[in-house]
Amino acid sequence: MRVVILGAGGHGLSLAYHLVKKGINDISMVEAKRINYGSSGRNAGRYRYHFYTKENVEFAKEGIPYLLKLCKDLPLNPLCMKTGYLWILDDEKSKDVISRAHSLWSSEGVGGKFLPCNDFDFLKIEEECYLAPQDGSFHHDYLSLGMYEAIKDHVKVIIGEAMRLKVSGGKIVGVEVNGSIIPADVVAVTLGAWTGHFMKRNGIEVPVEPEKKEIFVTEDLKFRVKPLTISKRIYFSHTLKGEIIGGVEDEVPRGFGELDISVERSLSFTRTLRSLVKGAEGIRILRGWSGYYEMTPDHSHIMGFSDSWPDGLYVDAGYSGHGMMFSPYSGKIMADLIADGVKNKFTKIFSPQRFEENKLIDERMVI
Amino acid sequence: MEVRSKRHGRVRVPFDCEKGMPHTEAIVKGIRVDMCGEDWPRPKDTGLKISGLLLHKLKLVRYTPWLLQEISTRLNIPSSYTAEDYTLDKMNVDTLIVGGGTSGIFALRRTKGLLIANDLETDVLLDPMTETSDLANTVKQTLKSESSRILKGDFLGKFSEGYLLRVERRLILVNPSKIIFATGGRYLPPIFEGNDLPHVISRRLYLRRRKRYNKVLVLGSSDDAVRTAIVAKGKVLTPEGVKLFSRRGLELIEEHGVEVEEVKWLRVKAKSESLEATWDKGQGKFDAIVFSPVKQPRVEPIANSGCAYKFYPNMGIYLPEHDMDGYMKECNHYVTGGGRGIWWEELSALSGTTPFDPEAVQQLKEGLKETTLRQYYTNDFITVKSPYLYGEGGYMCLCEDVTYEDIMEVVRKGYVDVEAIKRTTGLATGMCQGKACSYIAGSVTRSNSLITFRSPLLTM
Ligand SMILES: Cc1cc2nc3c(=O)[nH]c(=O)nc-3n(C[C@H](O)[C@H](O)[C@H](O)COP(=O)(O)OP(=O)(O)OC[C@H]3O[C@@H](n4cnc5c(N)ncnc54)[C@H](O)[C@@H]3O)c2cc1C
Repeated sequence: MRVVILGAGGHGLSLAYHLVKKGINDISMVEAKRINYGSSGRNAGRYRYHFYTKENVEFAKEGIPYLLKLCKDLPLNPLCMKTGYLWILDDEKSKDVISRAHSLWSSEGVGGKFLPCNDFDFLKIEEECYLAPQDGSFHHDYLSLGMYEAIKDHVKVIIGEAMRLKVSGGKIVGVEVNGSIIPADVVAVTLGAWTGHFMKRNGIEVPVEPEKKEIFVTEDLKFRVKPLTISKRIYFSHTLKGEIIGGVEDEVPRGFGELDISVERSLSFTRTLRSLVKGAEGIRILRGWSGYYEMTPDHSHIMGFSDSWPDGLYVDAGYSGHGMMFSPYSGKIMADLIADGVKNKFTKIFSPQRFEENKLIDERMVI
Repeated sequence: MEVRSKRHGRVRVPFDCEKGMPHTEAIVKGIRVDMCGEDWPRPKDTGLKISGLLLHKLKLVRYTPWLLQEISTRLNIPSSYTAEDYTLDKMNVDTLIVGGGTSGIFALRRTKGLLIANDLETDVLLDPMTETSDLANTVKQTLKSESSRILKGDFLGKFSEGYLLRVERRLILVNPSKIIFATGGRYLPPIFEGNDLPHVISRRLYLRRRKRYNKVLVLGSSDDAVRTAIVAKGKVLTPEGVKLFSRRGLELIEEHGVEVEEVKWLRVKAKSESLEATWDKGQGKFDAIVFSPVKQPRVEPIANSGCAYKFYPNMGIYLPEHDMDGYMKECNHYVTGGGRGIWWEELSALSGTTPFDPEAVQQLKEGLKETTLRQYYTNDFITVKSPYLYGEGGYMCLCEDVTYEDIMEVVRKGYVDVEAIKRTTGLATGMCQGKACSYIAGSVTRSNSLITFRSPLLTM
């Protein structure tokens, strides 16, 4: 079986990793820039069980333990660590959302607890907080490069932009890259935020849109912000090397653009952080960068294939800002589907067909 | 004041006092202290050199995540920062000159624009060989007469709203139609065992502190090493087979009888408060080891502003892609002086006028013919051994304590470009954000590209 994977981010690499494990030996990866150029090299490296919908919580209940297992196996150490997520309930909206979610989470066995924020030494505020202790952090580069390192001698990496799918008799036969056709029996599209754009170019509607998000890293400060802390303005947490990493929570118009950062958000991030964290009153940012959230209409990912597509075409994308943590597990599900025809229940729940069939998932927790 | 490094607890001081360079700032009880204004300890060989790659290799670590947190809390990093804040406003600027060295000052004389620089003490004013020259006088006079168009502050880079400047606690957004990058170049520490010891310093720092040092060993392969040796009355060590001297440099060697020795390897130890250097053919005790391997242009503000750069293998440095007049077509801006690799101040001054004066271009072209930069313009690329390689040890990244050995280990695994090295070892992710280490790593591995130099270019 000749498999061509488009996009070498966490999801493409994980799919390749799992296919190699199954003994598939004709795998090519097509990457426009460099391995991990996309969101997989630009994210905050946090994992959680805590989503708004049952579907995503249940996906996480399988996906996160799988991530934690892989953390122990890869040639690089992705530094998986349980840190918790901490919501500062500083407005009615967050109180409302968390209270409702709390009953779902409890019934799913991942309930957290309400507590005063000043139970946490690092916080300077007198609000109510909600701690979800099961969640945690990892190092995004070590995760994706760890998967790459494990298989790099078994896959071919082609640097170039995937342009057109080649279809014959209702089947995928190849994909055009750098002006020539790479023959393929299977093409897996793991293009993250670029998925919608690529598919549209090939006449197929897959609703994934880019939303630019900025993220910042501060100077070193002695480790204290263990949980990923979420206020209505910003989210932030410590890295193990001493920086505080985080971003601003705001709505940004969809679309591709410059991957730069704005003065306004940089200042807004530092000012809010300084007002919340003890000892950080004058902390500065070291650098900022941006990446795309890969937004779908229901803020949930798309995996599998649609009956209306050519045979051999698969998609795994659209994680709407929470896809790094799921890359190990999704790659496994996709590899089972592609190599063995095994349909995991989640390929049905998160199927691309749900948009035509109007079976949307009402996910609201995009962090 | 004694400062210890982040992970290995090595005693460190700055190797150069340029703002933003490793160890130039220490946070003491929340207050930012300029290390260049402090007394420095004598060299001391302390701390614990452990490979950062053990994190990946020691499987035990993965079963004891609490250990990671424990290690993290023991890192040598600040516990607090005293409050500060900025104001933000806008300013209209048509031409912006970034950098206050010779070429920047000469460019300023030709425009009505504004110059921003955080250091106005250019080398010409510091080097006893040039401090009384006509050129130095012109620079001094211009600094005075044009002071209303000179901002003492930082260029923080490109943001979605425009380019950001900082003058004290004021942030200023500008949208110039033309930027002249007179950002100059810097001397970065070569690779050898002991390269992070206190008093292993750059030529620039030496020029500022030279009264404190008697016995000096000079490292370098460029004219500036020769000039340093003349001032310091020391000998020059250059890596075997790497000689990047221009004709004038060679003449100076002759004229002053400078001793230049090619070495296979070098090791430096801290011994009874001084630096003991040993190399394949000799040894000695020194107060300071002064390096100027090659002048590496400060590419990061240029690349950050969307201009292209490339590796120039003939000298093992990165140069902004530019024409003879300094024009950079990728971004529509100009580069001058040390920013384009020039080190002689007359040529530097000339390059500050080429963006405005076609006649100067021809003159500059003639001048550059006598230097190792000439093949850049004729596209005759030949690869030389990196001017940074004096041995197989020491540190590649001071801020994060990443050793040369660790870098070479990932390079052998195939992570050869600086970006991949960064993402596998943590190089260039610390306080200096790669302003030092990324160039050295790139030169040694001959990487085609560096890292993405992100905004802000200095902590903000
Ligand atoms: C700021 C930020 C913070 C985030 N925080 C978290 C977090 O804490 N936890 C979490 O789990 N997730 C987080 N995410 C989301 C996560 O990063 C993504 O969901 C995940 O990385 C998606 O991986 P991917 O492999 O699908 O896509 P990507 O990693 O984006 O990979 C797609 C690749 O395709 C390439 N490409 C594009 N077009 C083409 C083409 N035509 N041909 C060939 N190649 C092409 C791109 O160069 C890219 O390398 C965050 C994202 C951002 C932006």
